[in-house]
Amino acid sequence: MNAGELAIVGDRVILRDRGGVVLDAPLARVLEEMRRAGDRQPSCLVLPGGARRWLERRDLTAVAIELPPQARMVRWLADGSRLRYGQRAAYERYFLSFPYVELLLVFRGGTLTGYQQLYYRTASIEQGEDLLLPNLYNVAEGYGQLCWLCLVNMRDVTRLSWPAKINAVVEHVFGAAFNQSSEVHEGNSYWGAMRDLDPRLASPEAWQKATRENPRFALDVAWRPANTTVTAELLAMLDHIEAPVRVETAADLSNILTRAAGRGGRT
Amino acid sequence: MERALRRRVEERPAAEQLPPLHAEAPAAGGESPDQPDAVTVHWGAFVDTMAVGGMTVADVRRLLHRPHNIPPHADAFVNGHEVDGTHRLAPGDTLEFSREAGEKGAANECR
Repeated sequence: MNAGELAIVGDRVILRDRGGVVLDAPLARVLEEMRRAGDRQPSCLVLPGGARRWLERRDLTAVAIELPPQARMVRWLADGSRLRYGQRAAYERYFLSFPYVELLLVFRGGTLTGYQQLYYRTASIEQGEDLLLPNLYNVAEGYGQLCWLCLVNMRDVTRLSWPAKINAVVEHVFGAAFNQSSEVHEGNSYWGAMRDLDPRLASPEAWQKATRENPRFALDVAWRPANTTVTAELLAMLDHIEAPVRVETAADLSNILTRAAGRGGRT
Repeated sequence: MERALRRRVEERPAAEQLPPLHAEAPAAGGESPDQPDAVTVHWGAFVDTMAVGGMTVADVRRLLHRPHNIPPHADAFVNGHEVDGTHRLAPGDTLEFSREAGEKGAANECR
């Protein structure tokens, strides 16, 4: 293409050549694209099983794992337990129906960063990205995250391959007993918050009974909307750890141009 | 009492009486078993519908041990009931391999 002219006219960015306007885009959208230009697509050629979204920023990897609706055996704090969490608390096994479970995780250099969330959906991510609030112990609002997932007791996954890392997290989510640790340490959990949502979920016994009657009933529950999306949360989690360069206004762009032009103001 | 509660496993019905998960509720999420001998198998992040109806749980464990790293001592559940390796899978069954992974949250509550 012949040399053209790039101009910011009001809230538009316009590319012209001798024939006239070639491109015309909203300034805000261009700046958003520039801000995200540092986020890379997967460096691994094949996504590990269950991975549905994958973003990389410098040494950070943000990944969304989707688990299809399943009834799973889990261990759950027993009603009669004297302790609220820990090895010495009492647990019982329950067979519980889950809708789609969306795990949003950020790794740095292959290690979990503490930015990890769990949400529900009633349809695959292929059909939309809106997230729903879960009803689990050990998922709580905290640490700047709406649905922070407690993985404090998880083994180190740094040296594992990506498929093994993801499997280890999923295994911990469903294999490590659910308890009231978040009630004590984060002051809340979504089990407590959502207990009145549906009589079939009022207790683990009721949940299991409904699961035995229909292992897919979790797809029919009117889960509360989280008012956020998979990609929005992944980007927000990345931003919390490694803020992208601020390019939000024409003045920000002007500052970048000034730096690029050097002290003399022209190159 | 708490120790008794910790590992309480439901009394499982006889192997041939385990109700298949797909009997009354069609599968969701695209894993509907089209094959007559299809069984849904899941372990961690791995979920698949496989033509393993008629095989025993031990057969499936051996089959998937290498490709999916299923630990030899993982517990096996069919339609939510714990089974041993001799249990023979029926079409429509859901087989879950699961391994207890401690507890979530801080190590111990001091009281």
